[in-house]
Amino acid sequence: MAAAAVVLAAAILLLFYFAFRPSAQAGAKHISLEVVDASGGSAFWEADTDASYLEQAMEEMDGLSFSGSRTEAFGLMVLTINDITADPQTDGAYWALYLEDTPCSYGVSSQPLEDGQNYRFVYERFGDWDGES
Amino acid sequence: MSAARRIAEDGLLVALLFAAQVGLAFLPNVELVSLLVMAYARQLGRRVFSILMVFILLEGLLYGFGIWWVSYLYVWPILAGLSILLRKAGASPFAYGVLSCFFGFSFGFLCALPYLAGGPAAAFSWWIAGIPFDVVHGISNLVLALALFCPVCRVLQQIGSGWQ
Repeated sequence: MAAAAVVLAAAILLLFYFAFRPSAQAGAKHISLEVVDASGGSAFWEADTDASYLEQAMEEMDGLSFSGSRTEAFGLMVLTINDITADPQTDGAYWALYLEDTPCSYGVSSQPLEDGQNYRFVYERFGDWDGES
Repeated sequence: MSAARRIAEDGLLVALLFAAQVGLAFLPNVELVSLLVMAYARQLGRRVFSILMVFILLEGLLYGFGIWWVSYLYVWPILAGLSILLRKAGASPFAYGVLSCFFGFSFGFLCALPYLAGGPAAAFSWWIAGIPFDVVHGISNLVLALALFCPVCRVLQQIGSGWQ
């Protein structure tokens, strides 16, 4: 009985997820990406892309390199951008991803793209974030 | 029990809770905090709430007092309160496992409530985005509670002579 309730609840949750999750826009899109490092210095990229998700669009940006740890379930967790590493385990810091001024709900692998979006990666230390970008 | 002993015990229990959270922070939504909160509530009753308040304060000091922190002010006390109700009902350890599972499933929903400040759409999209994590959270909570709830309660009972 309890096991059935657990399975049913998980199934209902996943149904909600697949019914309401945002889908990527097909076709050409123009997006921008700003990377703000620990000292506040920033670099800026723009891309015209057909990619559906941010990771693919970032791969198309000249002069931008990034890497991290990848899991099948959650995709890529960005740890290093252009040789600057923000590893929560060793640096007490992380790369925060913002869409406009709002923290993204997804990682780069599943962040759906729409035309005209402006993204920012910001180097943040634990304790820095106060709910505003 | 003397006040000094109680303060010392509470401090240790907060430290255990905090260490468990930080130690497993690298695993997305796999945590021992739910298990410990339920065990504390079962063994200590309402005393768990003062332990939780210090734990929540420490979380804010470590990670920053963001919007997420507001939700901590009620999600953990809700779990503790429900655990106390289960204790009063004489529920089996399995019931705590089920509670822990459904708490994990509903964690994102509960944590989305402060985002209502940005409008219902913001809170809804925040909740939807986290559902896969909630499912992982609920199932891992169930497994951990079924495996560890009884042993943890036994240990708390042994070291806590004089509690209750």
